[in-house]
Amino acid sequence: MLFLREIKKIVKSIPYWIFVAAIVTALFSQGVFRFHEDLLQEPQPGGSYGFKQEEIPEMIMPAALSGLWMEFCENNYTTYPIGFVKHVKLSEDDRGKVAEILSEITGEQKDTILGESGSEKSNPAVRDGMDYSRFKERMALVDDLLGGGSSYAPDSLAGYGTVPLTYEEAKERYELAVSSDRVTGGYARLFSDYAGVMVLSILPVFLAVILCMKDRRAKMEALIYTKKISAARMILIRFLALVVAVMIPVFILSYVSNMMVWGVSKGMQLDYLAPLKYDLGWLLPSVMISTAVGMFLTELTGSPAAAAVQGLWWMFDVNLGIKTVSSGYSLFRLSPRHNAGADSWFRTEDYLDHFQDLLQNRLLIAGISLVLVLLTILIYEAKRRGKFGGNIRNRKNKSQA
Amino acid sequence: METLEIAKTNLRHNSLLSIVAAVMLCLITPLLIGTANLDRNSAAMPLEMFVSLIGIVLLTPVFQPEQNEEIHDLVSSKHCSTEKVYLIRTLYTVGVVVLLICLFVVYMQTQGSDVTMILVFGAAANAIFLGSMGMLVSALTGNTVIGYMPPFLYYALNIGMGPKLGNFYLFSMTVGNFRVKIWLLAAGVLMIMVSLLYQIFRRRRM
Repeated sequence: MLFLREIKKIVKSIPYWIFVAAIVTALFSQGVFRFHEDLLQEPQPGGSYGFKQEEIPEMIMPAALSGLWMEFCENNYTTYPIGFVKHVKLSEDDRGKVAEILSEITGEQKDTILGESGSEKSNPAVRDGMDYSRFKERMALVDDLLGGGSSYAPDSLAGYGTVPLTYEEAKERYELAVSSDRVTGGYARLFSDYAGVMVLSILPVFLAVILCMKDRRAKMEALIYTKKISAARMILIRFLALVVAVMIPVFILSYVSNMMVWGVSKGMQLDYLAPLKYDLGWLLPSVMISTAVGMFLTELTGSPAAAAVQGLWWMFDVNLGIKTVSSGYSLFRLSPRHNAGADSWFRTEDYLDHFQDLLQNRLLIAGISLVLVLLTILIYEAKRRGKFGGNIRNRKNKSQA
Repeated sequence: METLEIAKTNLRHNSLLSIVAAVMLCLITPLLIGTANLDRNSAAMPLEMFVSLIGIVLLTPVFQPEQNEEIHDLVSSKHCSTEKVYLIRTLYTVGVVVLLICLFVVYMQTQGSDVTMILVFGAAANAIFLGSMGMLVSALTGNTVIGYMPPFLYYALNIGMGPKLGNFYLFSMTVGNFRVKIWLLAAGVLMIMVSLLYQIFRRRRM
């Protein structure tokens, strides 16, 4: 009964309808309700199929060296430590270290390199017999000197090895999308990518803060503390009500979006449960953490500080971007990224390769949420007993009086 | 004299926390994104994407103190009108927004970035637009926390939709478009005026 009352309270509030409007607007802006205009197409021979990154040492080494040489000459390196561009200027000492690395790669003397850098000699060659694994090690060192996030980082070096996809490879990708994703899985994943990053990892925190502060605003806190209901039951019901209320439009919208392709994917074996699986597996942990942070910090501080904390985390997360596939699935991502539509056959292989990472991330985020809920219960109970928060202040004031 | 006294009291009691949060945001920006040796378009990035968020932090809570009924009743009992207090608070908050942006731009200049007055104007327009959106929703709903939601959503939409937002694209200076900032500033000023007028209208109806 209490659960239903809490849901009713949330659903009837203005912030909830702002949230619903926000999710519809954000998803509409990304075209998730027009998936039928972007159907999965079988590749035809003789066409162009896009590009892929491949670790081809003969291609990567000269290209990466050329890039590094140019930046070394200008002493202006472009990095993306958190997704945004950052220009790095190295000190003389660090510049010397890069010159040493260049010397090892090209076979030229360090002093010659430092002398030539002013004259901007173009494209020095990789010395004969340069081992690729050693090259990668040296480049990783350059990346360290630059503070990370450069194109010389081990997981970014493949960016220098971009080659066109062949017909066979494109066909293989298509078949994987049909067999593994059963078409609808790919669309559900794209829906989750947008919904998670744009709305569900940030806006639920506001609903949680507003709901938790409602009692305080109505000056009902003390009255609620006297109720018989246990702190655990009270907080858990509130948490569940918030999560369920947020997930209701998510379930509806994910199916509305996915159904757009059901009618036009004739002859294919579709997975009609795909939206539900992605809603629960991909999006639910993001909703849980956003809600839990909101409840925990509001109960702890009695202020809307949670909105600022979650806002900052979200800013980091959004701007981490999708620079590399692995960063899209990294352990502490608030909202995993896999921004691939039907035109790239959903990059199903990347998804399957990183599925373990995704699983770890989602379990960790859900676990942290539950820990925060547990801590919220403890704080609530302590407040109720007058051992924490407002009641202490009241006691102090009384004694001062 | 009275105006100055109101501003001083409000700064100390109502705006200090927001100002500290805005300063913190400015301080962590150089840790997250490069601010040194940037050309004009690149220099716009930290200003548009990070520093302009101080508008949300500073302007959205302008009406917060009186949203507490007890404070509202107390302020209403004073001879000085609440509208005047709102106006003073809004004006000095806009002043703080511009001041912090100027300080950040001076810092960027010392770092060798190509920053000009147009970047200050653009960042201030962004901040005022985002902040005024929060201010308006806070006024309409009578709840500051709700006021924070739309500017955050609008920021996310800008990341998702990019230049499709036309004259209301927040990150236009990074792609070399400076003129659209006039629209953002005009819309921001309009929203501030509407929220102030709405507060007057609501008070008279009470």
